[in-house]
Order: sequence, then C-alpha cells, then structure tokens
Amino acid sequence: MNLSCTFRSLWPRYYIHHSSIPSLITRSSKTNLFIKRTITTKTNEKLAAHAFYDDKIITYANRPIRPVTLSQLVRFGQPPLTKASLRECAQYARTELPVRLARRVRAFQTLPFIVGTNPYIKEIYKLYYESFESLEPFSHDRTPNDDIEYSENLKDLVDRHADNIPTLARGFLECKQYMHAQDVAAFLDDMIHARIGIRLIAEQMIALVRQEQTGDTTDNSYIGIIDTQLNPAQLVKQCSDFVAELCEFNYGASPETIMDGHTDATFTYIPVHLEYILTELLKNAQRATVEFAKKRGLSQPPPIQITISHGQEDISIRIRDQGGGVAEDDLNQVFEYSYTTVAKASEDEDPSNIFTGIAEMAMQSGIGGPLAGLGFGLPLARMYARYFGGSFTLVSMNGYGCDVFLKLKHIDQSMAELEI
Amino acid sequence: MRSLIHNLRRRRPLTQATPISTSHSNHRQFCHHRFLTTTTTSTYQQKNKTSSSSSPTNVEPRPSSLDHSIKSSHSPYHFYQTKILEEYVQRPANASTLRQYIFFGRHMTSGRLVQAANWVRHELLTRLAHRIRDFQQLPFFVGLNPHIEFVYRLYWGAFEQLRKQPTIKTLNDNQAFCHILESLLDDGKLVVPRLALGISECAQHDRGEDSQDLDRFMNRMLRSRISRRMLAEQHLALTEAHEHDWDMMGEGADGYVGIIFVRCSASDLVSQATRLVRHHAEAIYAKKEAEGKLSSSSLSRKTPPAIEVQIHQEIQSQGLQQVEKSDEIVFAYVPEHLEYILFELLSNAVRFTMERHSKNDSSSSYPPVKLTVSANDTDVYFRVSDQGGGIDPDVYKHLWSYQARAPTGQFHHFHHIQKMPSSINERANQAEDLGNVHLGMGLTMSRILAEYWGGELQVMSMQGYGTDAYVRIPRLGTKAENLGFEDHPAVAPTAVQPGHVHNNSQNQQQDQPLNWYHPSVIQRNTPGHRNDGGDGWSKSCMMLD
Repeated sequence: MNLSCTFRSLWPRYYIHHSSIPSLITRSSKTNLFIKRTITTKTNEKLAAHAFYDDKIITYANRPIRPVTLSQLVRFGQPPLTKASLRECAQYARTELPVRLARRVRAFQTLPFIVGTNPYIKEIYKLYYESFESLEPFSHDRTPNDDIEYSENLKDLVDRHADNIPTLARGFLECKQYMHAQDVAAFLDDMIHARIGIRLIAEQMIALVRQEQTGDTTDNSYIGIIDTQLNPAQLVKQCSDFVAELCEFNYGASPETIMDGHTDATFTYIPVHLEYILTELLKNAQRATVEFAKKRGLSQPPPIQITISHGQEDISIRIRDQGGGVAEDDLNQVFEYSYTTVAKASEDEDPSNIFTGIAEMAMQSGIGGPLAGLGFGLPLARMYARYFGGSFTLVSMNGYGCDVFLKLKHIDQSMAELEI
Repeated sequence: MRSLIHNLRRRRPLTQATPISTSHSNHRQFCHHRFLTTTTTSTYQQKNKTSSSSSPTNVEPRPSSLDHSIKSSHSPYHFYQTKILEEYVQRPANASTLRQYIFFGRHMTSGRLVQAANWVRHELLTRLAHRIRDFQQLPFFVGLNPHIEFVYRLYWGAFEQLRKQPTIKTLNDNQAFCHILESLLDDGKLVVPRLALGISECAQHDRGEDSQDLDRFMNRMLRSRISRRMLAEQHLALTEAHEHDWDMMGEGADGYVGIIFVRCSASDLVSQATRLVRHHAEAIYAKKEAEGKLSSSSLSRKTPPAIEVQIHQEIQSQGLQQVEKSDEIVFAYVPEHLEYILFELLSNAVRFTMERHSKNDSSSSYPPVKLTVSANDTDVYFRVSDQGGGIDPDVYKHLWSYQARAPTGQFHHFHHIQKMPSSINERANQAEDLGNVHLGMGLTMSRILAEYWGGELQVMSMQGYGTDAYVRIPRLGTKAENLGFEDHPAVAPTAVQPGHVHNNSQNQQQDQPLNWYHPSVIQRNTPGHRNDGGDGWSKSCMMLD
C-alpha cells in the first residue's frame, strides 16, 4: 500500500481517471494527522513538518517585490547584448525570483487545510516550494560564470511549471464546495498574475543567455521573448491548425478558419501570451461550432471568421463563430473560474450515443492539453489580454454564435513605465 | 378631422401598393400609419406654413394658455403656477408591456375606447409633468438657453392643453381629444432638434470633465418622448380602427393592432431598410457627381456598397430530430421603431464605407456591408458589420454622450432642420434633402429605441478596419416599456420633497430621498425588467468585457 501510494503521489497526473484518489482524500480528511502520516510518503511528511518550521519562506515572502518596468526588461536585452547587461539582468532575476516564489508558497499556505490536501493543489504547492529551494541559494552565493547554471535552473523551473494552470484548475474544481467562489477567484487572480510576471522575468533571462551564448544576432526582431515584428495572422494560423487537429481528434470534424483584414500587420508583443489567448479562444470557438452544427444536423460545421485590424494604438483581433452563442444566464458567469458549459452540453446529447462519454474523457485530457471543460479558458485569456493594457470583449448572439474582440496594445515606448 | 385620418389606413388587396411619399414606394400592402407625413396637410401646418426642410424660421410653440397667463417662464407668476404640476408629478408613470397593449387593443369596444382616452390623457399628463419637473430641476443657467426654454414652453403648453380637456365621456369627446393629440404630435416633432441645440450650447460651457447630468437629462427626455408618442399614436390608431370597425382578432385581421404589428417579419423590415439606404446612397453619389466633387479618374461609377443580408432561421426541435423552421422570423413589435434603428445603422455603415474607400482605386468596388439576422425563442438579433475603418478611440469613448461630443460642434447641423422625422419614410426624405450632412443623433436615438421594449444596442469597433453594431430585440413582448427612471442627480438628499404634505403615501419616500419620482414606476408584469447598467443605459445581456 505504501509503495503504491508513493508512486501515486509523485506522479498523480497519470491517475487522473483513477477513482481511488477521491476515496483516499475522503478517508484522509476524516482522519487526524497521525493516521495521515502512515499513508503518506516520507517526502510529504518531511515537507509538511519542514514547511512549518521553515522561516526562509517567511523571510523572503516578507521582502518587498521590486517591480521591473517593461522598458528595463527590454533594455536588458537590447542589442548589442553585452556581458554587463546580462549580468545586470541575472542579478535582478536572482534576487527577485525567490521573493516572488516565496510569496506564492505563502499564498498556498494560507489556503484552507482541506483544500491544501487536494493532490492537484498539493502538487503545485510542492512545485513552487521546490523551485524556491533550488533558486534560493543563487540569490546570495555567487560564483563567476554561474549565470549559465542559473539559467539552466530557470529553464527547469519554466518547464516544470508549464502545466500549472490545468492542474490547479482541476484541483479547484474538486474543491468547489470547500471555498467561497470569491476567495477562489481572488487567489487565482493573484496566482495567475504573479505567475505571468515570474515567467516573464525567467524566460527573458533564459532567452538573453541563449542569445549571448549562441551569439545569434540574425534574429534581430526578438528582444528576449518579446518579438518586435510579431505577425498575428501567422500566429493565428498556427494556433488554429493546432486546435483543429485537437478538434478532429475529439469530434471527427473541425471548422474551417477564414482570415481577413490586415493579415500582414506586425506589432511588438510577447508571442507566448498571444498564443495562449488565441488557443483558448479557438478551442472555445471550434468546440462550440462543431457541437452546434451537430445539433442542427449540418453536414459541415460553418467556418470561423478571424479578422485582424491594425489601428493606431492597438491591434484588434475578432473571432467570429457560429457556435450557438452563450445564453444570458451563462454570460454573467463565463469569466468566473471553474465555470464551464461543457457538462451541460453532454446532458443534451442523445444518451444512446456511446461515443459521447469517450469524447468527453478525451477532450479533457487531450493531446497537448485539454480541449475544454475546465472553466479556465476565458478568465485566463482575459487576464493575459489585460496584462499589458489590452481588453477582451465577448458578444453573444444567443442561438447563432459569438464574436470575441481582442484588443492588444503595442508594447512600445508608451508602456515604458508599466511595472511587471 | 376625418380628413386627417382618412389617409392613414386603406385596406387594399395584396397586389396593390400605394406610394405615400413622393420618392419611395411603400412595399407594404397597406399604407403605413403615418398620419402626419409631409404630404398630408394639417390645419396647423397650413396656419404656419412650415415644412420639414425649410430654412430655420423661428417657429413659435402652439398658442397655449402659457401665453395668456404669463409672459415668460421665468416670471414669478409661473413659479406659483407650477403648483398645478404637483398632482401629476406625485403619480407614478405606468409602464406597460407590448402584450398588454395588444391585448387591450384587440378587445376594443366603444366603452373601452372612451376609457382608454381618459387613461391616455392621465398618463400623458403624468409623464409630461415629470419631464417638466425635470426641466425645472435643471441649473438655472441651462434653463436660460432659448432652445431649452422653447421646449419647456412647448411642454408646458401641451400640459395645460391636456389638463384643460375635460373627462372624455362619449365618442365625440374622443374625437376632439384625438384632434388635440394630433396637433401635439406634430408640435412634438420640433422638440428634438431644439433640445439637441440647447444641450450642445450648454455643454460647451465648462461643466466638468465627466459630468453626465445633461446626458441623463437628455436620455430621460427622449425616452419619455417616445413613450408619449407611443401612447398618442396608439390611441389615434385604435380610434380609427374602431371607427371603421376593423377586425383585429379574427380571420380578416391584417395584423395591425394600432401601431403594433403582430407579424413583423425580420426579412421584410430588413429589405425595406436596405432599399431605402441604397437609394439614399445612390442619390448622394449622384449629387456629388453632379456637383463635380469627384475627380475625373473616378468616372467609372462605383455603386454604393452592397448590403449583404444573411438571415438565419430558428431551430425548432421536434423530439430527437432537429428541424429548421421554414417560416421567417416573425414577431410582434412596433415596426417603425425597428425600421428607424436599421435605417440608421445601415446608413452609417454605408456612409463610412464610402468615405473610407473613396480615395482608393476607383475600379474596385466598395467592401460590402454585412447584415446578419438571427433569432431564438426570446430574442431577435441584428448585426451590421462594415469595413468603414472603425471608430477612433477618442470618439468611441464618448459615443453615447451628448455632452462630451457637443463641444466639437457635432450637433451643429440641427440648425438646418426644423422637425424631427417620425417615420422611416420621412427620415429618408429628410436624409436626401440634407445630403451628406450628419445630424449626430442617429446612434443614440437608435439605442434609446432599442432599449425601449427591453432590448439593447451595442457597438464594437476595430480601429483601422471596421465597426460592428449589434441589436437585440425581445420578441415575446413581455418586457415593460423602459421609461428610464433612475435616481435624479439634481436632487440633494436633504431636499424637501414638495407635495409631501399633500400625499400621505409619500412617507416611504423618506428612506430613499434621492429618487424624486418615488414611488416612481409601477412596472406591471416585469419579469427581467432591465436594470440600469450604471452609465444611464440598460445593462447588457449579450456583451461582456
């Protein structure tokens, strides 16, 4: 029993559909701490006690955050990239990241106990803890040329934290009844906002190191992770192809994507952010279109129309679908975490369709990430959009389809003072 | 009197169509309900020889007891005279739903008609009183403005005239009452241009960056104006129907219950609006050509942008099978409201498309304007998408405000028009006369009209590309009229409530001193009555940021 518990707690993701995890939770939540120890692993035990007595977290968490302005971040990587500017960036990252990570850990520690024992949430908590532990030494010890090593660590950090959001999403979905929705929303807002900042600093550092190492000056348009010549149309195409594959896998059909407007416009932005937003929006659009088309008995799902416009201040992207729209009751809640209309869709479907259940499962653990159903897509997309002063508007024509307007400001001089 | 109404509705076989305006033929088999079109003559018009497109001569308000009793609305006499308002200001305005109007209209008898006349009279008096009180609450400086004063005197005159009308007891009394209603309706057309000019002049004086009180005032005025016209026109139409004994319920019913048409077809409305807009655009283009404003290189005539219409039928489910309804989208509504909205949105779209792309190579045609119509059980949606270059962010910020736009001279063109048109044909005529001149009120009026029966209108812009306008119209007729009652900003919490001593039922007011009109509105049958969205407009059901 103990061995299998070890295995499960270290790699819980593979057991998403395993039904014994919920029973473990219910049992352990009812027992006291002593009994809990017997069924948890040594690592957990060590962590739990250690965390309580560890004042490093508190020390760091209590330090103030030193925000970096966007212009500084850009300046770190402005060509010509010198060793000096790299060290400056590294210095900032070394001292700053542990503070921010510690704050995240602290935030987790203030969650209700029952929520903290949820395996998904616990996993993320441990992840942050371990990241903090691994990066903390770099903030006070310094050997020459260990910037490379540091950036390796950062890479590790970024990779391991890649799936934070879906995992957290699952966790909070399961904990719905233990916390008020507003508290969850507040926690998640802070969490995600901070995460964006942390990743920004980390990835910028990594990119700069790589640039300096390889001496690659051919790709002049990039300053770290900021692309000064980002072509949204191209990114849209990439994302919609990717999502279309996912959709084909799950539903057997996918709607065509038609692009128009200023398709050759470019602007300065961070590609990963835009990619994330677009993927989420396209997932919604394609799923809705295919499901609605099925409901209407159409042979071919109607196309999704994406229009790009280059204005003076911002780039606007409009995604127009014929996916049936969002009902008025749902509309007020689409931006809430863990709110999803996916479950409802399955209620309407013909129960005799045996593929429904399979498609549901596949959808939620699809290749490359869930297609839908976790209720995080829209609030997250909106937060990313707003991070650099953009906006996100959803217009629903119930019974027909939705239009989503994404407006992103150019990251330029006017944003120099924006603090990360 | 009869001569005025006789022109209004003629029962014709379906194949014939009678043009009611000189340049546009009405596709509908019956003449549209406009008893005060430019082609009919009313005694009032003959007296004063005004027309809708003449140069601005000063039109005096209808002779009223205002002139007899006092010389000026600023006089002390008027201050005390205002007491007669109290009785009506205290009363709440009763908002009804479309269904209630229809039901009432269908079960008309002579006795009911007389009752209706009295009810209309009281409602009009109440609503007018509220608006007059609104005027009186305006800052003194604003009240001094001649345009504002003009409208104030007009309203006061109307109030007096209605008040002096004795209770209606017979059908003959009703006829006299209807006569008054018509003249009031005609007068009422003078209101909007004057108000717009007045507000714009007042707004130009510094009233603070974010001041919205004039906006709210204007919105209340316009909403109430629509509601009073609705009442009056409906009563006139019902009187006429009763006179001619038209059947509204049975086999031969043509679908009209007063000015409400129970079988509004989205496609018909859309095609009429499209036709008018296209005609108007072509006329403008022809005018420009004639005036030589076009460069010689664009001799190859570009036709105005096409308006592509896509109507998506509803889905009806019958058991497991999904069947698309073969019928059109049909619902009960006041057609003139919807026509107005569609006309405004489409003409804006066409106009901006033409402006934006006129400098381009003349051989390519304009990008089309796309109109999408869809419906579900509860609402009908219209979406107008154009490629007219979008709206500038500075303009977009103040799209719905009168105050913020006034300083830039946006309402300047109201000097050119005397009367506000009340039907789509009149509007089209006027548009042609004015040419390419833009009055600046189309969008806000459209939004007020859309929100009147619980719908909404939203505009989203993609700067550099184009604009999308969305209209949602509730189709069940269960939403009460949106009379726009909200907290009156001009009343301080500690203000003494006049009339408090008279009416004991005011006692509950003390808990909510801000709302002047409390008990403000008795809304009957109002499931889902729209609450204020916070900026003076209705809360949106279809848009979320």
